[in-house]
Amino acid sequence: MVFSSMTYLFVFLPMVLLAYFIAPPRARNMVLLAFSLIFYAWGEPVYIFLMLMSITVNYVFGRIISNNRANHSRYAKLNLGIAVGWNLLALGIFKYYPFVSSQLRGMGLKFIPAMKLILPIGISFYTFQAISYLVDVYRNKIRVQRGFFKFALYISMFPQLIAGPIVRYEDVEKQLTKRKVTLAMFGNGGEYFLRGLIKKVLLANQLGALYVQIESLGAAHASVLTAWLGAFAYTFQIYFDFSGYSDMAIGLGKMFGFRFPKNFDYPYTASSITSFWRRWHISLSSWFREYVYIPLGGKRVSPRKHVRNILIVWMLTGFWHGAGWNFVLWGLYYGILLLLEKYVVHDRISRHPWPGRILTFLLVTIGWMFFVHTDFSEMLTYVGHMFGVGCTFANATTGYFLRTGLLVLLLGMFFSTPIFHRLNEQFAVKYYTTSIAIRIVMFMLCIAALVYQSYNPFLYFRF
Amino acid sequence: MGEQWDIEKRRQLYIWVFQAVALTALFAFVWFIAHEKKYKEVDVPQLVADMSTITQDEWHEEDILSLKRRFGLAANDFAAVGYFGPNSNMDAAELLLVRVKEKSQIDAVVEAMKNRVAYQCTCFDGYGEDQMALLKDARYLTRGYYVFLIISSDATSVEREFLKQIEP
Repeated sequence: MVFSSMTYLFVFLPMVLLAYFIAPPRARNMVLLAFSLIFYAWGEPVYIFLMLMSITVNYVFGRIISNNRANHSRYAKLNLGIAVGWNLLALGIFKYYPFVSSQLRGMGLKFIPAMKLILPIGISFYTFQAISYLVDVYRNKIRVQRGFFKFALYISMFPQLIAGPIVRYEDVEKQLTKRKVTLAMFGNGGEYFLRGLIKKVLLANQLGALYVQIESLGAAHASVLTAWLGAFAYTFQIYFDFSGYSDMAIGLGKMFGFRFPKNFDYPYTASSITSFWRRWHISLSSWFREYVYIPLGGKRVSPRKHVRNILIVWMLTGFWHGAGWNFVLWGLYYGILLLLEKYVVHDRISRHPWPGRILTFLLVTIGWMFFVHTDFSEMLTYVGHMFGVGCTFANATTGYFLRTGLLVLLLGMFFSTPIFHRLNEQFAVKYYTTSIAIRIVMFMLCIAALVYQSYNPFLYFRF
Repeated sequence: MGEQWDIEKRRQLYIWVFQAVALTALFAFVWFIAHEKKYKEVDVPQLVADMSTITQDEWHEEDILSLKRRFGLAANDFAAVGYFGPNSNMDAAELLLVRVKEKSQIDAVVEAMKNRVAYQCTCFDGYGEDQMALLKDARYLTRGYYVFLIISSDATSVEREFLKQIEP
């Protein structure tokens, strides 16, 4: 089920809120768990069994690791390995097997069976949550969860189940047992949710439509400027789409008394690639830092190993996003850029923040073109157009897209900076009633757009 | 001491059994998913093009922008799309076949198709008797990951041909 759908907004959400708040506090976890499972099963019920399996396996292994970590640390480590292996196997089969088998069969290894498996929605997110839980239990950073249903709720909680943020167990440990929703917190959660809905419906979808139009142009209409307009449209689309989802997830969490970590911090205002990745999909970057980069030795190793560590982490980050060579290329692209920043450019960027911001934004925009094109020849053609290969600088089609798309791009640029947020807060304090009225109007606009748009998948659902 | 040893061994046996069950359950699930009844994977645009020849001169192939404009659907969101639209604004025949990426998309696609048919009905209501007859006979088929809209003067033949092509 998609947050930005009529079924969710007018049926599922009111029902879960009603059931949650009329239930006695002790039963609220069960209410949330039941609705989370319904939410997940919506449209693709069979994969609920995989999720229940994952919950059971991780719950039991968590207990085994916890019981053995003091006296039988090697045994605990063995079980940690088996449990992490199980999770990676499940992720590997459903997410990567079709890709890997097709590559191997293409190399002549026809005995490898080809299997077309549908990717279970959210598997990358809940698997990473489960792995972080197991490792933290092993490291004695957290206490093992003895309540099966509380653990099941941690893994399956519907606000962040499908596309993150990847919530670490320590962030919600206490809230799983005891949490309080005040009216202010609920209202704040509602505001976050609305902000996310606006980002998704009024910005991301419009920018996406612009990108689709430009991307589907034939070679005869291609030009440098049009290709850049399309690239900027996608750059802003993916930001508003994904950060919109995260805002909705954080908002819903607050409405039920949970505090999820921030996942975005105005990434397009970053003045370096390092800073960009501290602001974009923060929960994923910190997951890889904590569970891959630091265990590999981080930066406290020889420069050669450090280079290796960075390339491994970024290749995995790319591969996490999808089973395709373009994602690996995209990850390595960032690995190389980060190495250049660390070993060649050093702190020269931070001394010149504005050129740094512009350069970072342009590099990120180019990166998204690797990300979005799964077909290499299409990718090369599109990126080639951005640099004038086989096309003119501008043509009549460019004029059309400048007239029809410039406004939404400028809005995208404006709303991706903290300026609007600051102005909005000042306005809300000064003109409280008007700001409420504006929010209601924005909600109505979202609904009107939803009626027209029919289908609104989030881009990150496919990861 | 011996009893303690027995308890410890039994505990380890349970854990070993659990590990084996966890692994077996995962592979059993994968086997089940891989052997679910599946409709044939066909070349969607080609199939629609073939079916469009069943009745001549009713429609022509449309691009993805028309799909977005008329149905609010972006072709990139789906595994494959084939769309033939009416020859002119005065025609109503349409064929749209979508292979979705996941079943949760099916409802939205069917809804988009119904909205399109409802919109066309408002356009032709009152004066386009033939067109209204076609629209009232619009067929929505859902088979596996396929969603198919048929608005045609010979919808039955188109439907039969479609099912013949995708049946395993």
